[in-house]
Amino acid sequence: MALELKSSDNKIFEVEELVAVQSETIKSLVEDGCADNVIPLPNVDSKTLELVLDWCKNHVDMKLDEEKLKEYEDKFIEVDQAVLYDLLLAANYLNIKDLLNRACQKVADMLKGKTPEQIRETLNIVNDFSPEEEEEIRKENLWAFEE
Amino acid sequence: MTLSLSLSLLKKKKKKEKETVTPAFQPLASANPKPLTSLMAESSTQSNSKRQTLSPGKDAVVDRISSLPESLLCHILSFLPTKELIATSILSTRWKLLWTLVPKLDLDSDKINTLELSLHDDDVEDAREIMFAHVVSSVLAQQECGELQTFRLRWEIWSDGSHLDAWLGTAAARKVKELDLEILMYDSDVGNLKLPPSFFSCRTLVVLKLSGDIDIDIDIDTPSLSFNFPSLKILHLVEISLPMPSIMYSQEHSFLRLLSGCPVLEDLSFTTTDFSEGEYKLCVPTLKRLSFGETDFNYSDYELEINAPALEYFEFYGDLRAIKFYEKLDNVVQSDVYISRYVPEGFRRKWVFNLFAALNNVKFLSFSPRGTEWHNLGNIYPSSFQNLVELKFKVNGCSWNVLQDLLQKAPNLETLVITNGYDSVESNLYWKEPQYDPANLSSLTSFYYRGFKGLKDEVELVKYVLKEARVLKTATFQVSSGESKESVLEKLSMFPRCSTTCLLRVE
Repeated sequence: MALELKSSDNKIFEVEELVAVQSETIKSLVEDGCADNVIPLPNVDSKTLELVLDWCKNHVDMKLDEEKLKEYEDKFIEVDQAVLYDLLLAANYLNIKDLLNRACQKVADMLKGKTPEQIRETLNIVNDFSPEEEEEIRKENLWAFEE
Repeated sequence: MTLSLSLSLLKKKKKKEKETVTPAFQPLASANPKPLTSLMAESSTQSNSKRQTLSPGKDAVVDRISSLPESLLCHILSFLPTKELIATSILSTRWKLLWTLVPKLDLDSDKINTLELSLHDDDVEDAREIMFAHVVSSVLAQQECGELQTFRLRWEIWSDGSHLDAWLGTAAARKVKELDLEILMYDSDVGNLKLPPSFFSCRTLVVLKLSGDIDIDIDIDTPSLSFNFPSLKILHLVEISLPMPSIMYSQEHSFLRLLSGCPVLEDLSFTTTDFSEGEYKLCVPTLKRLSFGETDFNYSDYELEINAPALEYFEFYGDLRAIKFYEKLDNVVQSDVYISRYVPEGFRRKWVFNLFAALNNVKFLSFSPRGTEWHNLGNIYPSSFQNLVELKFKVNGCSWNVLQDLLQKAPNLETLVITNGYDSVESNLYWKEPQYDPANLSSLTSFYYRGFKGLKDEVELVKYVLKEARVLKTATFQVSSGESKESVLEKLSMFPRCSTTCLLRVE
């Protein structure tokens, strides 16, 4: 059975039900019998939706080949930050647990092994602490800021 | 709120009495008591009174991460070990208290350094211990989330592990779901760490991992110190990678008593390295995944009887022992069997036979028979593997006959993966083509050979497969470095191929 999904920029995607129901959100719509018409997804643009559906399709195809799947996932998540956040938000909104976790893991990896200054640079975070405030935070858990 | 509106319209069409908020809008499964109203904003922007306006030059480059919904940000942060997590508190005011909302503790004593201490060398280790203990306690105290999902501790203990009792008490009170303890005792005089009384009160556990120098001590006379984990689904008792003994079973069969206290256990793994002589009966009707084996040779003669009819995944590694299954595993889907070698006198053909009898229904099998005596055993497969669809076989030069026999017993095999695992053992055994049977390899569509070296037996096997597999679609060869891909491909292309649609690939 095929379902029709509509992205925020009005592009229609036809997808196998088995693939689409990896999204718990879509799954509950199907179970409630609300998926007969086109399902609008105003929070996901076509570019992101295409990626998400590729993820879902591959997870159906490679379900039992753990090695192959891991290879795919590692390659899939090598995207630039902007795309990563779009994927993250889409996975959250569509409630696709494994994609959400993988994307979160990827963002977390960006935070690892970096000094706060380096993290701010990578993620474009503006430091709005005063030097005194910063010092206080450091002192509270000094061990966490040591190499 | 356009989305919830459109979805609720869809739902109303069917006149169902449901909430208008779809699951996606609910906070991620964290027991954070704070109202996450920020989640109701479905777009990525979120008003934040403290957010600075960006300087004009930075227009193209935006801080998207800080404006993610709080629960999503906490979910990302939950993938960080606690030390890195707390370091994020300094990034900006938005991040200052986020870490306290992450319901996880993940600390490694090795990664937490001592401060400058002007103490004598003797006192340094004690000071380190005190310091680490202080860190753990202070993290627990600073956390604002009511419930604790995960308590993960890797602790190298110099002498005093008594703080664990208080920490586990706190974890139990906060309904901890996952407990992961890796303990290393430096001082062998002190002995292994005994699980404190508060451990037994962690009744909400779903996942339990213990490894290292820990004693599982059960006092059957004190009910409060007995294993009673009504929600435990995953139990992994593993060895750490240092050359230390694995989990010591301080009482006879206390391991089995542990299992009887876990009525919904689904996933169990343990090492048999320290099993002493005797009969061990494992009875876990809910078990779906089982993995065990030896990490170091065990000289004892033990027997393991397994009653786990719901098993779907079975893994064994090490020297095969008398492992008896009560009955054939009807639900087994995947099995990884790695038999490291065996002691010729002790090895019994019937052990392997029994193993494969139990695994007869398997769909995905990975088999690696090491050692040199396989050709003396004769047939080790009781019957045909009707459901076997994928076989991964690691051949070592002495086990060609094992592969040969298996290929004759797998009429529905679709994927065959051979890995060259030749050890340095000399062998005068070789691949022999099985007797002709039209069923052999009749369903094979994919063939992979990993570590192809072009050895005589490998070539013979490849020739056989290409010749017999009528519906073969792809044959992929992974060659070791030093081999020219083109020359290998050329050579392989010369072999007669039965399937007209077969694609040869060398990587």
